[in-house]
Amino acid sequence: MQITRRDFLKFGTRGLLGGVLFYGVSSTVVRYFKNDAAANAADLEGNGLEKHYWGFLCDNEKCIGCGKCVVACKKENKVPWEPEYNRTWVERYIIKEDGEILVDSPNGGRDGFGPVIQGHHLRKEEVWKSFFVPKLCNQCDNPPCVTVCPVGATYMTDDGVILIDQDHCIGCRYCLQACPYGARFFLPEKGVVDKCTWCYHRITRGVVPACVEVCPAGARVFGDMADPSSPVKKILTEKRSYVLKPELGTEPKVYYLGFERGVS
Amino acid sequence: MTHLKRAGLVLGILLAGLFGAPRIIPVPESLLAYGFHSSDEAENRQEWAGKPMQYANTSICIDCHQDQFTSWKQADHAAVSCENCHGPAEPHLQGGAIPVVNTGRELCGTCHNQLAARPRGFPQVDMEEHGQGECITCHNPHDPREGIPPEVPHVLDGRSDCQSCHNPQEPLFRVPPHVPHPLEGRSDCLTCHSGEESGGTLLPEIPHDLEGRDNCLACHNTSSIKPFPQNHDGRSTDTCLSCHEKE
Repeated sequence: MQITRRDFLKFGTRGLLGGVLFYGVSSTVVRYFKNDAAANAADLEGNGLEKHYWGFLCDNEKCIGCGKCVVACKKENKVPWEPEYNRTWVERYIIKEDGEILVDSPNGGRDGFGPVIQGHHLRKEEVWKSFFVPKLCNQCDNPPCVTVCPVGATYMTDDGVILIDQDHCIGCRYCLQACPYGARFFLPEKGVVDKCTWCYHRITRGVVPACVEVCPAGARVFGDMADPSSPVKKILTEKRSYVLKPELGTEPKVYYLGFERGVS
Repeated sequence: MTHLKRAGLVLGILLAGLFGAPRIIPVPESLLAYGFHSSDEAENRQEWAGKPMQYANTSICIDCHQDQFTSWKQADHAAVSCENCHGPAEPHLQGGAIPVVNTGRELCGTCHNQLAARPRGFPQVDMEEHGQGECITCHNPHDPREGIPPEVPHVLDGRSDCQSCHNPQEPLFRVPPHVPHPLEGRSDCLTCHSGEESGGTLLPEIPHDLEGRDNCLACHNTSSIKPFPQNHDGRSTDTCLSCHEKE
């Protein structure tokens, strides 16, 4: 059989390009789906994590401002003891009779609170009302921090927790700017960003986060929103709750009881 | 027309090849190995989940410390987990030392110092007015209401700083009874107000034995505890026992 130069080039080129194209498309598709299946099998095997969807509740009316949660969080997660690094912290709000709102959180509430707020020693008559608000990562369903990460180092797990891959984090701190709740902070020693994980190593073992464990007032409640008998789900079924900065559409999963204007 | 179609086909394949080929030739195998994120989420998630715990749980503490648990669980501090005051249990569970509790006033004060922001009804005290020294002298941390207010008259065992409650110079210590005698120069209240002698209560037995007492005038003087007969004027401490015998 005689193959002309023209035919050789014609079929050869088509064959080559077609093969390359087929390989490129198919391998990409295969890799993508293979990864998903493998990841789910490895990750969720045995512990049924995919069935959970965690929720967190803070009861402002119960919080006594002892700051034991802050201490427990630091010890549990090896967060630096210095006051500027906090995965969770407690804020004190004082609304004065004249309407002015004072907020303080000395050392994040780590050492408790004293009678002085922002340098003022308020007289009893000046204070209209005062209360504490525990703060932590809201683990938003629509997390702006995940959206802005340029290297995809932060992500949401199937059970609804936002985690940071600190091996991939480049420490650019875009997420610190994006988080409307100030929940993230920069660890200078590691050069990466850190934040509350709801004690992911505890909740995956079936124990509550450390801050919930030590809270003496029952002001912090943790549980599975997918389980009707979990304490969080039960309380939220019975009570009216709110979230911080709902207008931003971040859909936080930390719910609060005891709404007060000015708290954000 | 056939000519154009053929040319179009070749061009299409050429373009697809041009963009498709570089996609796989220089791009490393690992680029999309983790989906469209650069981190391996599954692995990283396992890493977070695998971190060691520090705080165990009260249910673990009570396996060994049943005694403390019994008093604690029915008291007001039952809502306060063991590790809240004692610190994380994990080092102890791994065979480490028994966690030392900071028994200073600050520890109790983080919850119980008086603050406007604390919920009404939560027990709070003005730390400057309420007592001195360590809170646990009077308050049992496992059962804080036990013996509060103290039984009157109360057992003296284990109490050494009487004046932190019974102190007429400090009206802030509202604890009655205020001592009916001056406190200057008296440090060891238990010499006279001892558990044995007074049946574990406050008043010294009268008449009492004189063993170990060398300063009679500390109590028996005109401004304080009687009897102190008039004709004793001018007598000094070291002569009492020459007339008053030990038994």
